[in-house]
Amino acid sequence: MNKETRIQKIQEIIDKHKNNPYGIKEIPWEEGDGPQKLVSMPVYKIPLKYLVYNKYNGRILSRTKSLESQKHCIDVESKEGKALIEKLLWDSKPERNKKTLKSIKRLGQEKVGIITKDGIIIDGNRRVMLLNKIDNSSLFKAVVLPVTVDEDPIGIEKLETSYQMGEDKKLDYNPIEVYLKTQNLYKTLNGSEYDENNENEDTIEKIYNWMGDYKSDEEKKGVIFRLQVMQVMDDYLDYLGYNGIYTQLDGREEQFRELTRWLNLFYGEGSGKAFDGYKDSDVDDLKIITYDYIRTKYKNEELRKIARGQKENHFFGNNQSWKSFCDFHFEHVKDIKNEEEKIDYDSENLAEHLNGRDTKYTRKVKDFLNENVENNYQQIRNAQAKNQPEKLAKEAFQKLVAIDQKHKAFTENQAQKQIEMINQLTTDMLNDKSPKRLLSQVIYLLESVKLDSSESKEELLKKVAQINKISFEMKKKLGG
Amino acid sequence: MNNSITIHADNKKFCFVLAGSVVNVLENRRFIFSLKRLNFFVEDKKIIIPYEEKTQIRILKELQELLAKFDFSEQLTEETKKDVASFYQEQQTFQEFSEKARKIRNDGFKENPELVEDFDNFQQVIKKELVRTLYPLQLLSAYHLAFAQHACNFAVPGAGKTAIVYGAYTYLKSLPENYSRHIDKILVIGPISSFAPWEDEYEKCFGRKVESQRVFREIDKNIILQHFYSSNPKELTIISHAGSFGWEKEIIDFLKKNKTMVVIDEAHRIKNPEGRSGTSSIEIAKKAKSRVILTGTPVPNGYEDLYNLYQFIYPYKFKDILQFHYGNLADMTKTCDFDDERVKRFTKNISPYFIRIKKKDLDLPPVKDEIISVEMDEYQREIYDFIETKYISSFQQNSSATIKDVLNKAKLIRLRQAATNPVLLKKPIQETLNKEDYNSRKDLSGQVPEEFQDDSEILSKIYDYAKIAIPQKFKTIKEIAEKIITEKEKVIVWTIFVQNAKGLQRYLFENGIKSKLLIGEVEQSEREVIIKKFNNPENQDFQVVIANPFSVSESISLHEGCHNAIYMERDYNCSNFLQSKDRIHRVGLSKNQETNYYYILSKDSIDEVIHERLNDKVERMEKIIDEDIPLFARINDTDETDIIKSFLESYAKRT
Repeated sequence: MNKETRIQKIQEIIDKHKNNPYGIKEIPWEEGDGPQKLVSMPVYKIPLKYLVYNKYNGRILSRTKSLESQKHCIDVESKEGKALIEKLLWDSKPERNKKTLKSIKRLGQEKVGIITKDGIIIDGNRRVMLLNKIDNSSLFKAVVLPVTVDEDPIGIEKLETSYQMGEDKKLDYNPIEVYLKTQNLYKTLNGSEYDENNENEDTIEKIYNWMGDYKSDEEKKGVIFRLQVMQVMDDYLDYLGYNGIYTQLDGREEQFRELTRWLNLFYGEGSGKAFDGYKDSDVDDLKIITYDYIRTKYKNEELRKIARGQKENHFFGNNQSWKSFCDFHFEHVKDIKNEEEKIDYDSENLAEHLNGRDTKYTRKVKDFLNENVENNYQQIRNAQAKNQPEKLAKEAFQKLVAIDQKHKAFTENQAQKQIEMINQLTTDMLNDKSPKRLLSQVIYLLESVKLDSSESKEELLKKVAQINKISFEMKKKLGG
Repeated sequence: MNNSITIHADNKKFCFVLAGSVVNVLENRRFIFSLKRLNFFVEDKKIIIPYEEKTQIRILKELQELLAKFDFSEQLTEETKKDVASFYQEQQTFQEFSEKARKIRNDGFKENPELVEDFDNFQQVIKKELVRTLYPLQLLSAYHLAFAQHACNFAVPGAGKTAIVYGAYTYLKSLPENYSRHIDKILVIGPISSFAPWEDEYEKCFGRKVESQRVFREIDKNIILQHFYSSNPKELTIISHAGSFGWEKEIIDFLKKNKTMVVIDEAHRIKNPEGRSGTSSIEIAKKAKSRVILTGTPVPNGYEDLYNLYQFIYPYKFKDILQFHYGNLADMTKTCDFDDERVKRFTKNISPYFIRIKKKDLDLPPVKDEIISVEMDEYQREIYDFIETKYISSFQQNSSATIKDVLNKAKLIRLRQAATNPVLLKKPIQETLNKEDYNSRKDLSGQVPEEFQDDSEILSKIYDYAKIAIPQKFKTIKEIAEKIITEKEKVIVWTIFVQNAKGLQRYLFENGIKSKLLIGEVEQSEREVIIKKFNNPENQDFQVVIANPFSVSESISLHEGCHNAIYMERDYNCSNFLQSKDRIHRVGLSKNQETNYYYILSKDSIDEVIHERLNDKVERMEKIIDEDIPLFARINDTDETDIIKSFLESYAKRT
């Protein structure tokens, strides 16, 4: 059924029941972008066949946008398009849909919807989908707006946002939708994308009035933060070549919020919470590494160790720690990234193709990523405990004791070199504070030398003579 | 390094064009990531990075850093070198400068014979041009400054910073006119009290009067404008700190036409109204041929203060020098001790560009401290005891006297007044303090504890005191002053209370001793006359100056005419106390000149507590002064809790 026919059919219903509508409902309505006021509007029963789903409905915006990015054209008036939207709507919250379905079966449609005069559903897409499942010849109770979407896109957007996304209702949505919606609203109202150097305060205020607070984002700066998070999300998708495939952001919201906070804090080279003299290009590295972590859906609590809080608590707060973390990361991830399979943009199911790609990547890098965080975190913990020498020494001792000296790897050059370094370090430490202790150590060492080794006797004798000489000198020095 | 990139700044399209190993850049995903932030794109196999006029240098620097980070060599096209000339020049000379400046600073002449010749040459110029002799460390500092062209001098008060600057100035002036380092004008931004010293010191250094233009509120605007735009302006321009903000454009125009050394004197006093990234002094810096920062207190609040100072000295390279951001430095102030590895690293980074002459380096002749304990007369004792008993119980309940505890701080002032001169108690606190001093204690106004003012008996005693008695301290000061004057010497008397200054002046006058006041209300022009006369040993118009440490501090030297100071009373502000002592104990004193300090303390009173605690504080302060970067904020001059605590102890012992 085309648009003109729908307008005509819906108008016929209105005309017929004008004096005797099903009911009256107050909705916040004002054409254009002016402030809304509550308007009483008649409710009519509209046959489902005159209705068309709104594919950019906030509940499924990221899904439809992703599909369209994958060159899928969604014609909501076609049978296939309708079926696709119905599937997306069902998948957006299956449990909740099951519940509502039961309730509609029992009580019928409780909550009145809102449609435009040409039958586009502004509020009630999910209910219509459920009604269609039960009986597609039934009627949908709705207020009919006196405009089409084309005639008043901003008025409709405003109504949809405030009606569906106002206050705590947002939490019903897939989190990514909230960011995408904020970004879309900004673009619609401002005419161009959000640019932090050229913020449109009026637009931000309008968005705030329509959407309200979300999570810890309060007031207008909360709107700005959401716009920034969305920019980082877009940048992430671009980095992976996943542009517009918003489904790839699923399960990563908190990590992106965390990263955005870091970027806000560190870019501009002014933060005292980062290591001394860091550069913006170090923040670029922080971003790229965090993307690699986010891609694996790395737990946010762990992710925080990279750059959250006071400088002594994270890797980005200490030059050495950051360098070691960074070098290890790029060294180990480089080849894995180079060897990744190419993206097949013609894939029948691009989202699944990309999910598979991310999973394979995660499998390969996971151990490196964990190891890098664990190692560096341990170093930070050690640095924090620098004033507790006993504790640190005890830990070091326990680790040394745990070494299986019979293991083949223990005789390898690298391991032996490390042991030698430890030996040197402890000797220096003792020497600084107590030469007496050091001498006791020497006696212990001399007593424990095993002379029956296979090494040449001549060499050993040379060393013993050297020791003799040193002891003699020492004795002389001490006046003994 | 096989990868090489040429950077060209396209001035018409406002973009940098990177040519050369472009393919290798584009293969580096980290590099691309950073370039993306700079909005790059590729055109004709070249990388294009747009800029705006104000971001050109910043982006160029970042490109250079990125190329270095990813192991690419880089060069600018000839056109671009000209285009960013002042930046390019600083960059070119910087490395050489830094190395050599570090060597000069560390007195590394023995290991670097090439420096010896250079230094000899410098000394010859100084000998020829200067009638004043610079002592060795002054000479080395002047050489360091002349060589570096831009540098900080963090010498302690009394080290003769002005002469150091004139030494460097005259050397640079002596260079051939076509040399890029040649200068022939000097512009000083400093406190008004420094105006006369800059002019006088010029005369002492060069043996001739200087043509100078003062720029501050009281000078006719047209005269100032004519000076700034004159084709033959006066050699020395002196601008007050506050004045420099109103004349930025004119100063910049002046600097464009005149090869000028710009000196910021007492640089810690500069409060940049535009905040830390303030552009005005930076814009001035960019146009100056030579830049100098002078202060004995480089970090009044914290290490972050050096951010601005170094930005002035090296407007393009300062971040490379510091290797710490503003936020890092602020964090360091909060979290680090002076021997922390970070502080050491930071000091090392900045050390080639500053010289600090410490008090111990000055090798000044010895001082003699004499404590004179006086008994209060019976009336004063009674008044003092009354007030003391009144306060003691409240101090026992709350002994805190931080900046917030205005009530306790006011009580301490009252005790000091009672111990020095009970007449002061008649008036509200603000009327007894100097204007500048009072400004820093504004909070006291509404909360003065005037409880004893409602007590008619004690009040009448306070009122009668002026009629029946002369404070014992006045009498003692008179006696000391008489002795000094008979020996044809002069003396400066320091007092915290302006009423005391006036009262003492009257009393001395009645006893035939002429004196002058140096307190807040004395006009600048009159001050200059007083200081000049007092400094001239031949002039005997008056032999005593009564001063307030708040009004006579930085930039004022009194050591040429006066070697005696009497402290009528002191408070717990250590910086002011040391500053006041430095007025007569400075570079220029002859080897056997003894400087005498007399401290008058009322027996069994708060005076003794202050004396003891202040000595401890001075000891701590002197340790800090001998650090390279002395962070005085470690000593809190506003918290007097220590005094109350010690006061309670001493009271318990006495009673």
